[in-house]
Amino acid sequence: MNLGARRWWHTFFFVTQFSLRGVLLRKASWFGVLSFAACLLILFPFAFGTELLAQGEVRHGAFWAIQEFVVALVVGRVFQAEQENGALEALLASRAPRSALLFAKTAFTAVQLLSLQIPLVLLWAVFYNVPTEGLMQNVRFLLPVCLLFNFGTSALGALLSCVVARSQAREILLPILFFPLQMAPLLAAVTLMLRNDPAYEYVGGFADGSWWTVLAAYPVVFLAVGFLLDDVLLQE
Amino acid sequence: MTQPTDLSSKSKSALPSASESALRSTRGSDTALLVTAVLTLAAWGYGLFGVGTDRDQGDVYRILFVHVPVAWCAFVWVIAGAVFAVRLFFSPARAQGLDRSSQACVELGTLFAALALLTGSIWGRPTWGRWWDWDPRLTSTLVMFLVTCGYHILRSFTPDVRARRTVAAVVALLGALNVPIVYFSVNLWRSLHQPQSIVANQSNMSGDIKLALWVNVFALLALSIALYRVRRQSIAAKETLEMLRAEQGLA
Repeated sequence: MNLGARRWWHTFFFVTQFSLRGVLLRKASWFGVLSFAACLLILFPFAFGTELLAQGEVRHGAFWAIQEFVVALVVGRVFQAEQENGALEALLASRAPRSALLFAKTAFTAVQLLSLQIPLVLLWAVFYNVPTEGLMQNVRFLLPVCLLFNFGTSALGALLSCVVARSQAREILLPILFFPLQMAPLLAAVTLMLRNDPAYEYVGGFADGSWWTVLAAYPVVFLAVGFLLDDVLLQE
Repeated sequence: MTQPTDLSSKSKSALPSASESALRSTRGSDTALLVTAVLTLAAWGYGLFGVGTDRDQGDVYRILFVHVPVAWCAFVWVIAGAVFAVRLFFSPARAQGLDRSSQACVELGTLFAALALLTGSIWGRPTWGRWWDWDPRLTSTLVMFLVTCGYHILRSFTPDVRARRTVAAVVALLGALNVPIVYFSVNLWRSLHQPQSIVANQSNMSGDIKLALWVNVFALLALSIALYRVRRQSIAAKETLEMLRAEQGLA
């Protein structure tokens, strides 16, 4: 492995470790996001009416809608810890490859989202009376869907976090830019889960393959864009 | 209010000759705008009165002589904005001019995308029985429109000039990624929206309707180019004025 590749991987693992340590030190932020998601999980039945939860599309739709709120919170904080303690400026001033920083943040954010989705699925299964027959099948199917969804979302989120980093009103700007572009993986995830639910008869027009393509294409496309524009996105 | 940081030491001394040429250029742009506006009105008139009624849709179909050219113009200007954005990354010395061009293009793309949604709704109400459907073509067009709106909001919230050019260029590129999705959505997914009207080696409309459509397409494209020129000059004038004010404020 040449020096450049070694430096790239060193930066990647360093930033990932750094981010993990940050989350472990400030567990309150992780618990805070989980509590927020749990509150929404309880709020949705009151908005829709608890009887409506018997419908598969409402159950799955509510789950993924809550995922969007979680994603918005997590993606909004991709670089926040580093910006607050000055580590980001130090990283950018160093010779660390920018793409490694971006990729590390994307990977870490994806794993962070997964860590929040696991307890959320349990709460969802309980509060929304997800039928036990096929629950395990649902959960087994959910894992690859969540992984691809998380990576695509994180890649897009990290890219847009860099875009709005030097703007005012970031908390407004990021959702405005993020949500329109994020609709495709959301739609793909909901559709795939509905089609896989044995308790629900899904009548839809598009093959599973096309939705898997959307989910797989997102991380590829946005990581590629991030790789090509890393010097532009992450400037001192 | 943005505070431009690019200060041109030559701006004051070059102002008299620059203003004369700018004035000539502005008059030329205004004339072109007037001529193309008249052409577009004539094209609409031809679509309204010069072509027969459709066998299935009656006279409702005539809105398509506006809707289709407007939609195509939206695609063209969003892509043009992205082209200028890509050139900005490769030619930083010309970043100021390329950024202004990109901004003008994306503004037109936003305007035409909004008009495409509006005219499409007007056509959809009598034809589909509703103003809106979550159809792939309509939804992807809405997404493209929202991304272009985000472009403008981002520009207004980014005070630093150089940062604004860079981030706006990135978002312009992301907006252009939507265009092939919108265009091919009727082929990729089962869509309520009709397939592409003009396909190579195929004919799915009569000759007179096709002629009227092409006339409207070219007229509206010409009008949009005239609008681009006017808007581009307006953006350049505004930024020059801001730079001069900043210079005077510092002096």
